[in-house]
Amino acid sequence: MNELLWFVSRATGVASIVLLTVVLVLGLVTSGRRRPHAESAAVVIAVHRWLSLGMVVFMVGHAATAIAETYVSIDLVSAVLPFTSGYETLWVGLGTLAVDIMLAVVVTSLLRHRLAERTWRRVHLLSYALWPMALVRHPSRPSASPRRRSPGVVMSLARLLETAGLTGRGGAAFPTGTKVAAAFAGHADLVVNACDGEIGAAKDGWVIAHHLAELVEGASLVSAGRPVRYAAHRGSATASILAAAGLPVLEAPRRYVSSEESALISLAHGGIARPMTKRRPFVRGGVDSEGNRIRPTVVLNAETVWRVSQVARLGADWFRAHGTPDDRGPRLVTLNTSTARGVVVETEAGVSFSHLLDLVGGLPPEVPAVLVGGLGGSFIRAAVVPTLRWSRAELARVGASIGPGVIEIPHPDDCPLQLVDRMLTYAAGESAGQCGPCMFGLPALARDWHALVGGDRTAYGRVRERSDVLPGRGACRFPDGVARFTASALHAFADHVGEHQAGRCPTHDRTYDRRGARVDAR
Amino acid sequence: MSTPADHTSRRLGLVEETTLAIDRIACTGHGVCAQLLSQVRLDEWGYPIVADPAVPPDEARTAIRHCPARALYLRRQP
Repeated sequence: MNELLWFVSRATGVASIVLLTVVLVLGLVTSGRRRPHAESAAVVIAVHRWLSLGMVVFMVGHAATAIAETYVSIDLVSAVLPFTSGYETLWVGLGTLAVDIMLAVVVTSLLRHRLAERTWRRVHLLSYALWPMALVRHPSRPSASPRRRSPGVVMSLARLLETAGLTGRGGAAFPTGTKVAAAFAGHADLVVNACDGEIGAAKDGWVIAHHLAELVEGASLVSAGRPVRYAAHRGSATASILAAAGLPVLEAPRRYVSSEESALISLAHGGIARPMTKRRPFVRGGVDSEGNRIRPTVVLNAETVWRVSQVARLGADWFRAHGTPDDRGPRLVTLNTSTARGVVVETEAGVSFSHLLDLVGGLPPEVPAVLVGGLGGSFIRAAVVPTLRWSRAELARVGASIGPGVIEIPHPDDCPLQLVDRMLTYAAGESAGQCGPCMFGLPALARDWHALVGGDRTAYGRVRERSDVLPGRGACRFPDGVARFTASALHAFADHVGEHQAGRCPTHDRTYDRRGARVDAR
Repeated sequence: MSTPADHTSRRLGLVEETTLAIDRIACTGHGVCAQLLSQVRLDEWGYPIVADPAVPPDEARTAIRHCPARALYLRRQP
């Protein structure tokens, strides 16, 4: 429906301009030196009036469809009051002003007999301004690249992606079609995020290693001639491959939050790779913490951009044939075990979770839980794994989400509380140090968890309180992820925590005999 | 609280639903907002916890004006 509105909006706009031209010419003819007389005058004036009414109809349709379509945000108020639209304020404002003038001309003409001739004439003269206003409302946008794509091509790509149901593969699962449309509307630069920032992730590097040409094609389609950069961690194999291919690389430092969306945008604009406060989406441009303007920039995950090129080449129907109605399309998953790291497989939503685990040897019986989503993810108890499918809805039921598609089977001999201890200690050191709740909250959380591992009975309550008060209080979602991770650990390992509080550790008891020597190495 | 005129204004898009938002990078924990607003309390390090983001606009504007770090702003509801 939205595509229909977009087309009708453009078509009525064009029709209005055509009619406006004819109406203006006829008006000029009527008032010129060699004006028509008698019958021809009546005809010309009548045509002038009727066509101007037709133009009003098309203009109203143009404004109404422009408001109703959702690709650009023009509300009712900004369609009537000039220069109040958030989208392309100047140009839409001119169009609005043109509509206002047009309405004034029509109304004064209809009420001409009630007005002074002078008044009517002056308002009518304003109509000369309509023509340049209407024409310059859609300027051709200058671009450095000669391969600039036309609006029609990019908007149809956005619609294609919307039909296909492609959502972001970086973890947030935002509809890609919407993002592409917004990027085009805002003339945004593109950053392709190939950092594999989550612990245990390897799928971005896999895309660069195996499908680089398609990825570059996808980036070209999305960016429509605007600058593109490929983000990877400094010194990584991914960065080497990208540089060797002659692509512009955005080198991110090896810190957990440096590959966060706003951190990459900050880095791309010559700043440091630390998250920025997002007052509004950076696809429309913003400011950093010091007030420097940030050009509109959009960040897309590497796998997402690769999928864009696939959808463009193979079609939306091919894409929709994979996955489920809620999570369409093929998707990559990274599997990690104690013996195999960074195993990337292509799968789709709806497959059995056990099937994915079986690809790397299955879930050992001693392992109490599987970690999905790394440090920003959740533990899933082994007991519920057999019934689970890899889908947003089913994972949500057990407090998890698909995220960037990272699955980790912990080592059976690794006490899960010690595992969480190491990860929370790591997290505490990875705070960007910009926001108090994270900068102070994460080290405090790590300390309290460490006390919990040691059997401190009062630590449980402190850990719970700290996790509850972390979310939504930082510039980025890093503390939120850590809070979710911790809460899921408290839930999944509740029994184990109880054992530690009683001075025992089931994992240790299983792996060490009474004299403290290790049982058969696994 | 909400009159028919308010309802009409909202439907016509003439008012913006806004909530109070905090620029967490700019915030350095002065705590003035917690003094001024009942919806805000401070954690053990002095940083704000917003229990209820629905703050009346005039109270919100006062708090915005008084924050020493200029860390408060109104976020438009989409």
